[in-house]
Amino acid sequence: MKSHLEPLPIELIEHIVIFLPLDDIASLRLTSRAMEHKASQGSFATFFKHKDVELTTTTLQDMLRLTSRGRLGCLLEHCNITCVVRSDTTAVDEGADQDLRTLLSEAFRNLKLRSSNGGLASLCLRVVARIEDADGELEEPDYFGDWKSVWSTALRTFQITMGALQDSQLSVEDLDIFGGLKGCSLACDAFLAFAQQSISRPVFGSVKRLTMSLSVSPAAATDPESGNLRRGTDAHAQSRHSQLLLRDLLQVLHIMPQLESLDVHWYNLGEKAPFAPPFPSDPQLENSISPGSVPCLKECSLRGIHVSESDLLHFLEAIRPSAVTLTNIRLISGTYASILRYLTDPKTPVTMYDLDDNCEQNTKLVHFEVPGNPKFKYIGGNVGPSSIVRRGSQAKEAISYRLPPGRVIGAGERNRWLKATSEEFGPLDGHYNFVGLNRVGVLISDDDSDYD
Amino acid sequence: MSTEKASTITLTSNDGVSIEVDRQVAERSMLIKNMMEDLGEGATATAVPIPNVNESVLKKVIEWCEHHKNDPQPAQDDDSDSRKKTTDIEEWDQKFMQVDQEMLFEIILASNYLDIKPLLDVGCKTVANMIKGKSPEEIRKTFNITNDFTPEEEEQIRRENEWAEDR
Repeated sequence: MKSHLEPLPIELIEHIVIFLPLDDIASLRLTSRAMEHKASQGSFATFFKHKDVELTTTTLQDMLRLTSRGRLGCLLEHCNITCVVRSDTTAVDEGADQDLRTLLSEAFRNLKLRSSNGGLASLCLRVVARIEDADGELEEPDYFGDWKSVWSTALRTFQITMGALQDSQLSVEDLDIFGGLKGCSLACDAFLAFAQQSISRPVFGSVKRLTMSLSVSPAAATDPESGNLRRGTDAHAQSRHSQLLLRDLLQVLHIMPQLESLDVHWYNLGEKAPFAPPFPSDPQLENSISPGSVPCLKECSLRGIHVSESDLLHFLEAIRPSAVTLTNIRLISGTYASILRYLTDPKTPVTMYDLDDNCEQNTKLVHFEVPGNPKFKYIGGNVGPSSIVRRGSQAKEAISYRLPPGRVIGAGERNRWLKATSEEFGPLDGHYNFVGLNRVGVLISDDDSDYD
Repeated sequence: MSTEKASTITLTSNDGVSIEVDRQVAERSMLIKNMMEDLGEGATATAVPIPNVNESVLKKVIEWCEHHKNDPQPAQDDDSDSRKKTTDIEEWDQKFMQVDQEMLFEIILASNYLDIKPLLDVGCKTVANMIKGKSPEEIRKTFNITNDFTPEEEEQIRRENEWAEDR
C-alpha cells in the first residue's frame, strides 16, 4: 500500500507541520528522506534562528557539523555563547581553551560562508553557574558566591569568542558582552587590550550595537597576598580605572565605524564609594578625538561609571549621540551644570535624554527641579525626582537640580534603593550570589513614579 | 451585479458527473466564488468543471460546505491566525473526517485546489492529530512510510532535532 502523506506537496506538509509541536515535527522528520525534506521548511527552520551554544567541545562539534553545507544550523541569526562556571575551580587548561577557540572559529567560518547574511544579527556572551549534584549531574545551584570564578569564566568566554570572531572574520551587528547579566563583568583592561590589537585584524567593524559590562580586573581589585578585596586608599585603583574608561574608549571607538548604539555598564568590585582623587585633565585627550570617528552613533548609555565632569563632557562632545542615558554616574569632580547645558543646548544633536540616580561629589544624589517625587525624602525640605526623561522640543528646555538638603528620612525606601543599586552596580560584598542576582523577577522595582 | 442571484450552479467532477449545488454552498470555495464574480451571471448557466476532483470526493466536500454554509467567511489575510497551534476540531467536523486515509488526503488536496481554507485546516489538523505523540516508527506505520535513511543520515537528523529542541 502506498503512502498518502509522503507524496503531498511541500506546502501542504508545511500546513500540517504548523499544527505540530517541535518534538512531533522532530519525529516526523525521522520517518524518511522525503518527509525530512518536506517537514524541514518554514516552521521547523525557525527553530534554528536562535541558539544558546555552550562552550564545550561536544556542543561546538555539533555546531560545526550543523553549520556544514546544506544543514539547518546555517540559519542561525541570534547566538548566545554561554560558559559554565563551576565551583571546583580546576586550573584553567589553556590548551583546552585554544581547542574551543579553534572549533568555534570553524563554526563561525561556516556561518560566514553559508548564512544568508554572511554574519550574525546578534551575539551575546553569558556565564551560568553549575555545581555537581549527588549523581554527578551539573545543576544550577541556589547559591553561587565565588565571584572570582565568575569573573575568570567571563574573561575566558570573552577571549575564546572574540578570538574566534577575529579568526573567522564573521560579522556581528549586535554584540552583548555580559550586558544581560548582573554581578558578572569583563575586566576592562582585557577589553581595551583586545580592541587595541584588533586594529590590525578588525572584529568590531560591523558592530552596530555594543552593550557591555566592565569592571576593574580582579587582580587589580584584590590584595595579592590575602586575595581579599582591597580597602581604603588601596581601592583607589579601580576608581582610577573607571575614571579613565571614557578616555580609553575614545581611543578605540574609531574601530567601530558602524556603531549606532553604545551601552557601557561599570560594576564596582570594591568598597561602597571608592573615591580616588581625580586625574588631572589630559591635554592629549582633545587631540585624540577625531569628530566623526563614530559617525553613525545615535544612542549612548553610560551606567555606574565614576568620572570627572570634564571627561564626561568631552566624551559626549566627541561622540555626539542624539539619545543619552546616564544612570548612576558618579562625578568625582565638578558638577552636572555643564553636562545639563550640553544636553539642553539647541546646537547639540541631543533630542532625548534619560537621567537617573546620578551623583555629584561622589555620593550626593542629583534631584531635578521638576514636578514629581524623589525616591526617598530628606530632612530639611522637599526635593524633586532623581530621574528625568525628556524628548523632542522639551529636551531643549533648561533644567536645574539640587543636592539633598539633609539626612534621609525614608530609611526603608532608601535601604531598598541601596540594595537594588548595589545588585546592579556593586560594590561586591559578602552578600554576592551570582545565581540569586540573575534569577528572573528577583528585583522589586520601586521605580514607578518617575515618568513625566 | 444583478439584483437576482442564480440560486444554484452545476459542478462537474473529473469523472464527468454533474452535481447541482446552491450557489451559497459552492461559494465556500474561494476559487468558485472568484470565478463567479469574474465571469458574471452568464457563468451560472454552464456547468463548472472541477478537473482535479472525482465525484465521491466532490460530494464529500459539498457535504462539508453545506453544513458550514452560514459560517462567516474567513478574513482575507488570516494566515497568521490559522497558524495557532490548537488542533481542536469541532465535533461535527471530527465525525466528518472519520474516513479512510485515501479520502482524508483527497479532501485535503481538493480543499487546497478549491481554496476552502477552513476545510483545509480541519483536514491538516486531523493529520496532525494522527502524528502527535507518536514515535517515528509509529508514524511510518500509520502512514505507510518506508524508512530509507542510512543509519548515518538518521543520526544526523537526530542531532539536528536535538539542536532545535535545546535552544
